[in-house]
Amino acid sequence: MRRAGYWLLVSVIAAYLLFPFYYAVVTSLKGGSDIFRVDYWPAAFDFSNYGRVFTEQPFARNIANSLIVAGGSVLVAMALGLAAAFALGRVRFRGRASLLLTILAVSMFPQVAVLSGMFELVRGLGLYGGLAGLVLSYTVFTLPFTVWVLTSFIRELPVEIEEAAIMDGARTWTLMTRIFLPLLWPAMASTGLLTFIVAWNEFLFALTFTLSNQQRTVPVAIALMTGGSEFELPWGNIMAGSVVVTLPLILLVLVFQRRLVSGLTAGAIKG
Amino acid sequence: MAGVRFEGVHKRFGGVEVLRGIDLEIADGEFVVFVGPSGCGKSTLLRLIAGLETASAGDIWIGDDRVTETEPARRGVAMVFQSYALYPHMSVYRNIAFGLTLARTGGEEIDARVRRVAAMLEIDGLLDRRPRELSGGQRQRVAIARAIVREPRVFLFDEPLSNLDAALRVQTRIEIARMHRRMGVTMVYVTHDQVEAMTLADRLVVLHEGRVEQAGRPVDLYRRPDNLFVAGFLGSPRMNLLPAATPIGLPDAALPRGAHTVGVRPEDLQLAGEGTAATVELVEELGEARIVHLALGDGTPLAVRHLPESAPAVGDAVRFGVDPASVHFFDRAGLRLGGGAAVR
Repeated sequence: MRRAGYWLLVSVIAAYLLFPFYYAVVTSLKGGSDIFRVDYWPAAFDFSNYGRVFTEQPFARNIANSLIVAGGSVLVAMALGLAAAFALGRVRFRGRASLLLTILAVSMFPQVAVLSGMFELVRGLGLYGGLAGLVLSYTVFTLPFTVWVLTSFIRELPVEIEEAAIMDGARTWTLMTRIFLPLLWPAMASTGLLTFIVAWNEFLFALTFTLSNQQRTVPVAIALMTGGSEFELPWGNIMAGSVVVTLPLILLVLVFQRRLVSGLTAGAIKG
Repeated sequence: MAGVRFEGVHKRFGGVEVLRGIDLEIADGEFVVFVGPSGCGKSTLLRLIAGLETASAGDIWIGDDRVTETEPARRGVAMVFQSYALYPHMSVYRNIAFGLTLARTGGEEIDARVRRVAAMLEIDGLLDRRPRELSGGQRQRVAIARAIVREPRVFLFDEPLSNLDAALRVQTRIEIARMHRRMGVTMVYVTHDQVEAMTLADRLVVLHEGRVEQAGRPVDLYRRPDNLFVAGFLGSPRMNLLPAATPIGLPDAALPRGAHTVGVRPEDLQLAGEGTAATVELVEELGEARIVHLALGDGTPLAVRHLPESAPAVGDAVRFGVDPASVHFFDRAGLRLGGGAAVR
C-alpha cells in the first residue's frame, strides 16, 4: 500500500515535471495547422520542423555559439573558482569572512538590476556584440556559487594531506593541479554542470549584449524566430528548436549523474 | 643524516605563546620522543622541524644548516602524519613516488627506490591499490614507506600509532624501533602515550606549557624526575605526591630542609605487618599485580602496587612501609631536592 502510494506520488511529480517538455516534443512533430489542435499523443511523425529550424535561420551557428559561451563560462569559472576557493579555504588573511559574504551577496542581485551596469562594463571592455561579453557576464553570475561550493569542499579536505604534499615538495601550483583538482573533481563536476546549464539557458544578457542573428545564442534565437508574416509565430520551428537544444543538457546530466552522486555520497576524501 | 638543534625557539599563535624558549640538541642518529599533555607544544615543536610552522623567534639547525626559514621539502626531513595523510586519489605506488616525481628523479631510479622500500615494508603486493582499499596497518606502512623513500636526514613521527588498535600498536612500535636500529637515522617522535615514549626513546623530552621540563634517558627521568610535573607525568599509576608533613613513616632525619612535597611511587611502598596504618579503599586487579588504594588516617589517598596474590579486601585496616631511599622530595617551587634512587 505504502509502495503504491510512493510510486503514485513519484509518477505525479514526474508527469508534472515532464509534461511541458513532452508537449513540446509532440507539437514539434506536427505540421501546418495541426499545431493549433490540442493532442496528447503524437498523431503523425512529421520531422519537417526540424529541417526548417536549421534552414530558415543560422540555428547551427546559434548552437555553436551557445556551446562556446557555456563551455567558456565553465572553464573560466572553474579556473578562477578553484584558485579563489584555495585562497578562501586555506590561506588565512584579514577580512576573509567578509569577503566570502560579499561574494555570496553578489550572486543575490537580480539580473535586471545589474543589466545596465554590466552593459557599460561589456561595452567599455570592447566586448559588446561578441561572445566574450557573454562569457564575462555569465562568469560574474556563476562564479560566486562556484567559489562557495569549492571553498566549503576545500575546507573539508584534511589539512594533513596538503601538508604531506608540501613535505613532498609540492608548491602552490602542484598542490592545486595534482592534489586539490583530483580531490575536488566531484564538486567541480556538479558546479561546472550548473554553470553550463545557467549559461546555456540564459536569455536577458544574451538578448542585450548581441546584435545580429549570427552572434545569438540558442534561447534568444528561439525567442526571436519569425514566421512568414509579422503576425505569425512559427510554433513548429520553435518547438523543434527547443527540443534540439534541450537534448545536450539531458545528455550531460546523464553522463555526469553517476559521477555526481558517487562523488558526493562517497565523501571520496577520507584517507 | 644529521642532528637537530633548537636555539631559543619561541612560537606564538596570535596572542598565545605555545613555545616559550626551547633550547634542545638532538644528536645524529638519536631516537628522541617528545611527550607531554595535550597543548604542551610537542606537535608544534615537531612541525617546526618539518617547516610546516615557522618560529616566531630563535633558530633551528639540522646538521650544519640553519633551516629556520627553509621550505619543508629542502630540509631533508620526512614526516609520518597521525592520519597517515595518504593521497586518496593515487595508487600506493604513486603515493610513495610522489615526492621523488616532484624532485624530478629519473623514472628508473624512482621505480627501483619505490620497489625496494615497498619490499622492505612488505607492501610490494599492494602497489596498485588505492589507500581506501587498505587496512589501517597497511596505510600506516605506506605512510612510512613514503617517508623512507626520500632518504631523509631526519624522520618525524606525529603520533603515528594513535589510529591503530592495541595489538597492532605494540607490533608497529617494535617495528619502528627495529627500523631505527637498522637505519641509524635521527628520529623525532611525538606521542602522549607513556609506554611508547618510555620504550622507544633513547632520550625523552617532557614538555609542559611550552617549556622543556626535563630531557634525558627515560630511566633517568623515571628515577630522578627534576620536578613535580615530570614526577607526576611519568609512571602509571602515577607517583603519590603528598605534603611533606604527611605521616607516612619517614624518619624526621630523612626529610631534607625546605621539603614541601614528598613523592613516592606505588611500587616503592609495601604492605607489611608494621608501619603506618591505613584503610583499604579500593583494589584494582591488573593481573600481574594489584593497585591497592589506601586512605591514611586523615583521609589522604595513597596508591600501593601490591604483588602478592592475596590482596586485602576493601575496608581492611592495613599497615605499609616505605624505604626512605626511594622517596623523592620537592621544594615549594616544585623542584627536586637531592635524594631519590640512584640510577642503576
